[in-house]
Amino acid sequence: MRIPKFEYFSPSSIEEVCSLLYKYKNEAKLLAGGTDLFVKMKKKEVLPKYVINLKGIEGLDRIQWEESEGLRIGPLVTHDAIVHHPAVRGNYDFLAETCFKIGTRQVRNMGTLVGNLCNASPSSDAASPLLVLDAKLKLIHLYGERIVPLEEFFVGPFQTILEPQEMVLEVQIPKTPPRSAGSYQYIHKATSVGETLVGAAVFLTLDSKDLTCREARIGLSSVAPTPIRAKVAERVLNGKRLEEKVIKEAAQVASEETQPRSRAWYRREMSKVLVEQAILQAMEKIK
Amino acid sequence: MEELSFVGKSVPRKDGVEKATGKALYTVDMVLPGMLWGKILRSPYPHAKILNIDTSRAERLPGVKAVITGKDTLGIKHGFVETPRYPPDQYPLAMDRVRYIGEEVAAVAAIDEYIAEEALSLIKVDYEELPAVFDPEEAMRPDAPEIHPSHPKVKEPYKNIGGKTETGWGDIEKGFADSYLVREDRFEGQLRTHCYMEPQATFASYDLSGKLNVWTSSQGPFIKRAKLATTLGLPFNNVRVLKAYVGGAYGGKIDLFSHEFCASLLSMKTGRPVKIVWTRQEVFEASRHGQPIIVELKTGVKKDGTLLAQKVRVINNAGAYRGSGVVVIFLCWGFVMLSYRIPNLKYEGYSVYTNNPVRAPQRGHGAPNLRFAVDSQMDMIAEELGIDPVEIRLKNARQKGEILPNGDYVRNCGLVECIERVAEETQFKDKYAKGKLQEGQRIRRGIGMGVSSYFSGSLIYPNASAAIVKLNDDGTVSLLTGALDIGQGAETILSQIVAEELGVAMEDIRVVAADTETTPVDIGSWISGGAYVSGNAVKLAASDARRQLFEVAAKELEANPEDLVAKNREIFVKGSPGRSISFSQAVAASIAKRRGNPIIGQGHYRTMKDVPMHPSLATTKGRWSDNYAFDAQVAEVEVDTWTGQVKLLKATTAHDCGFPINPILVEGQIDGQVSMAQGHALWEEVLMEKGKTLTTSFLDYKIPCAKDMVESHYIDVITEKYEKDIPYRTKEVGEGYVSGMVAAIANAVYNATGVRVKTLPIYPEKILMGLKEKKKK
Amino acid sequence: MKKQLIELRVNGESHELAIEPQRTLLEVLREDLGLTGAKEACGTGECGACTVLIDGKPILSCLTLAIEAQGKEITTIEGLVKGGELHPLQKAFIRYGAIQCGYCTSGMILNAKSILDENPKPSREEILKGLEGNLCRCTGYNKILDAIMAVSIGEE
Repeated sequence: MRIPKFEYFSPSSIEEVCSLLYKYKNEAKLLAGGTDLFVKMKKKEVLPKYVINLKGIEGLDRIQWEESEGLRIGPLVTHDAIVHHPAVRGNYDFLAETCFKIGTRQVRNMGTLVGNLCNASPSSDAASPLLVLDAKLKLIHLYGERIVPLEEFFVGPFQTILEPQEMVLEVQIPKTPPRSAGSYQYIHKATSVGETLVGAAVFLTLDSKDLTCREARIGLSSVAPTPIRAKVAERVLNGKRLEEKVIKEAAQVASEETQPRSRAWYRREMSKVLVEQAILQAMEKIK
Repeated sequence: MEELSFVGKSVPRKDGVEKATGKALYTVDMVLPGMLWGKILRSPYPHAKILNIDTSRAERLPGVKAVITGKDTLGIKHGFVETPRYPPDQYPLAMDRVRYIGEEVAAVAAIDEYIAEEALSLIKVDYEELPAVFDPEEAMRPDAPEIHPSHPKVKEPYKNIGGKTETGWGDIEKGFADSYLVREDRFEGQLRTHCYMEPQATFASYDLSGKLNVWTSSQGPFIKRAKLATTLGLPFNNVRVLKAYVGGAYGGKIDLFSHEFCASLLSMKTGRPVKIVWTRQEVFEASRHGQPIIVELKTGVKKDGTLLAQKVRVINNAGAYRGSGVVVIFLCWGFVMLSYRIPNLKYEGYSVYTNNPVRAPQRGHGAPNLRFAVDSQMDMIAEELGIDPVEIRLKNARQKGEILPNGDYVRNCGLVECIERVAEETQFKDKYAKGKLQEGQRIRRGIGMGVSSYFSGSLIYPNASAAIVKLNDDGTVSLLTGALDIGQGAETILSQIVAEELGVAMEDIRVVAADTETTPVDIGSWISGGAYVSGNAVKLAASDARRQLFEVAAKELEANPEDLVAKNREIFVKGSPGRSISFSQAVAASIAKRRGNPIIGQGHYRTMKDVPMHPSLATTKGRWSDNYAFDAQVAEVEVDTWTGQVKLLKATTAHDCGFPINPILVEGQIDGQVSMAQGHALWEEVLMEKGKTLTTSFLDYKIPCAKDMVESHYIDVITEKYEKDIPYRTKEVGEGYVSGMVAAIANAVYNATGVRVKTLPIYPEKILMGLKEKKKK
Repeated sequence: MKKQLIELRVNGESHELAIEPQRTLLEVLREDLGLTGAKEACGTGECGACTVLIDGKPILSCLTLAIEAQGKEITTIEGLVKGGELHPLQKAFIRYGAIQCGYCTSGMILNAKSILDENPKPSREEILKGLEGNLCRCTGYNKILDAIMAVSIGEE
């Protein structure tokens, strides 16, 4: 299977990338890991005239951790780099675990987190943990920049708000409060590798003393046109003591917030099971 | 007994070094100067008339060297089966009609793949769409659109019958009347596919002397040569199909495929080598998948579980052409009657044309789905009668010395021992009893058994294998065999046999294989007769060479040929180690004193030497095979009752393969089949909607990956032995063990959950639904 | 599209090539350098048959542009044989019956090498997890695991 022909650019600065994007807009595509782009090009789902490789630009593969602000992940950071980064493992363990689940060993060496988000697959594994971590994206273009919450980034299956002349410069993840933890639970469509049938991320912040939930965030992958937050279910948990009945109710409500298309009954049932498991695991981590 | 030095030993593969170092050449690796790339234009419609094809724009595209359509062919049809009853029904390139999405309509050859692909987009085909039908039972209705006229000899109220098998014995009604319990169930197998890692590929090079050389990813060169020569109108000796390593096949690369024909014809038109490699998407969308069969099974038993009567109705969704559909409905009869004794049987099988891609054999060719039905129901009957699954199987299992209803003789049979030993080794009865006592637990364990039997070689073109064993001047050996190593290790076991017969080391043997011009005929690596039929041909050739060597040596050593032994290219007189000559000296003596005879051993073999031909596909009359393999398999699973997810933890295979020629290769065959059965039972399915394939990549169609690896255990039940000089009866190991395992998994899931799934694959939601329904009750 | 002059370092040797930018590393290795050990089985990154090592890490050469691989050390299966001697993994794959049709073997061995290079004593589970992206339809992976385990404990 061949990649259709294109004109190739390998700029050495972000400014250059931005001016190329500004010039070619929809006719250009950015190349980071290539694991989504080249598949789509081979299948002729995307046929850019111009491919702009980001790898010639210094520093885009950086993960930066600051005690005050949190984490910033550049557009060339691979899943593998996230898996192994001490700041990610130390502060957002379930994000590292999720990235270890994505793709395969080879794909994790090539594919990038930002690329995964830009692909905007409804079944994106990385999206759910990032949604519950309240991640934001910094988008830039030749004449400016904007910061958008990840939740607003996805607009439909494989669709984002990214304008043709824009690129994602970084993912920003805020610092997590004390007595908080997250968990990502999933099952595959089949076998132990591959696309996720249902993925559920939960991020909990508990009261300083007891099991009362100060804030709960629930993210779901692969059960709606985009990765989603299950906000009604979150409200079931907020302010409550996390006892079995409340947890089960939240899981039930979360499953009702899903809009799966294929294997709908099963996906709903699994949303319930996985949300419950994720809540329990997050609680376990806080203890 | 004489101790064996090579046969029965796990010697490393002959092709191991080439494959481990990346040097083994597969068809996809072939290149020659001036090579062109070929591409195929396929039908976008499931059923349509072709009104017109305009190739002029494609032909004008710079870089395009040839464009062919049905009009450029001789219009000779071909088929997997070509008999008077079932004449060939498929053109190598569509003529006036297409009958499935993906059917080949035109082909181009160009200087590169980009241009070839662009050329396809410039071919204009005018179609007139016709009504189409996809479900076999809908296709059988009188008002269904007609895909081909039904077979004239099948007088049925049904439409679109590509073939029918009807047979039986005893008094079926009396059998049911005498039964203590009669069960009727319907089981459905899914459409699944081979997933050979090397996609379909052909490299053809025609030269001006009129000779066509073809490398193709296949399962045997001789059947390819016959079909290529026939459809291209060439004499057999002008079509040379050569060996290339094959990246997996599992039944999917037997028959003639359009791209093989097209690459050849394009090469003939251009006088340049032409290579066609399918994309994986093409393989999923247009290649031949396995046979999805429906099995309706009515079974009557005595109170003690003894089978009295069985009525079996099999419906096969054959796709748009006959393919191997009429074979699978014949074979399903065989897979019913082989494992268990059935005194009264009525069997009918229908192969039904639909507007789906054509089907091929897939490892087990009907057996996995058929045995899934029979052995699932066996457990259901056992449960109703309160009999243990092991006991009911032992009661009905075939035994050594039985004559099968078709007249075949079961010379040896280890089935009873397989069942007993696999039950013992897995502590089946204990675990089975515990399986039922897990109500209320989230994670449950289950154990299940399935049995299967398989033929080892049957009569189908080219019906025979032959071999040549040449001695070289230094005493090393060249083995010429038509057998094709598709990964199963044919070249290795054939070399072991030569080494054993001749007394030379494995390194002393060079194999020249699978070349229709230089090697003798071979049955091919697809009829489960490689080790038995081709192996015996090689054995006879090697012992012929040894006989000649010993005749010469006897004279030189002044001894009787019977008193000689050979080892390490040296011939000794038994009991006098000092008296010996080397192979090299013997060959020299033979040339000098026996009119230049350089010592060439020849051998040939055919299964069922006194039987003229394959049994009737329609009536099953006639002998089928003279060598049957048996197995009993146990699956141990873990089921998460919250998610319905099933994990196959452990598979134990007790098998009677006669004796293993190379145990590690046999183990590899078992592991691979367990893995294929795992996918078949639990998740693999080619999804289609109105003739269009929805699962078009390994992302959509998942095969087991390393993380799914199943712990695999083996129990050899030895029923035959290898002796020098005389033919042996080792049995097949490549297809039977995928067949018992599917049923074993389904039975294990039932043992764990109490949910009986009768349609494959056992998706987790089926288990969850079942658990919910059970709760309601 | 215009061809571009690139330099690839493969198995310790430098090659100067003029190629179009859309050519994948897999295509260039196989078609321009004659290194056909790496195979294409899917072309879309799902099977691992095209795995080669770039700076020691396994990647999918079917989804990597050759032009991107400049300035890096590329290792293919052909580069594992040193002085006529097979790599321990190659020997073990042969000895333990880990090869059947052989089509996945090159990618499997290279990925296995990278697993052992990263962690010479991996657990069974770590090996299987590491191999999840290399599909094999013949072996069920059992003998492949045996071979890699054998090398990890110093056997060949």
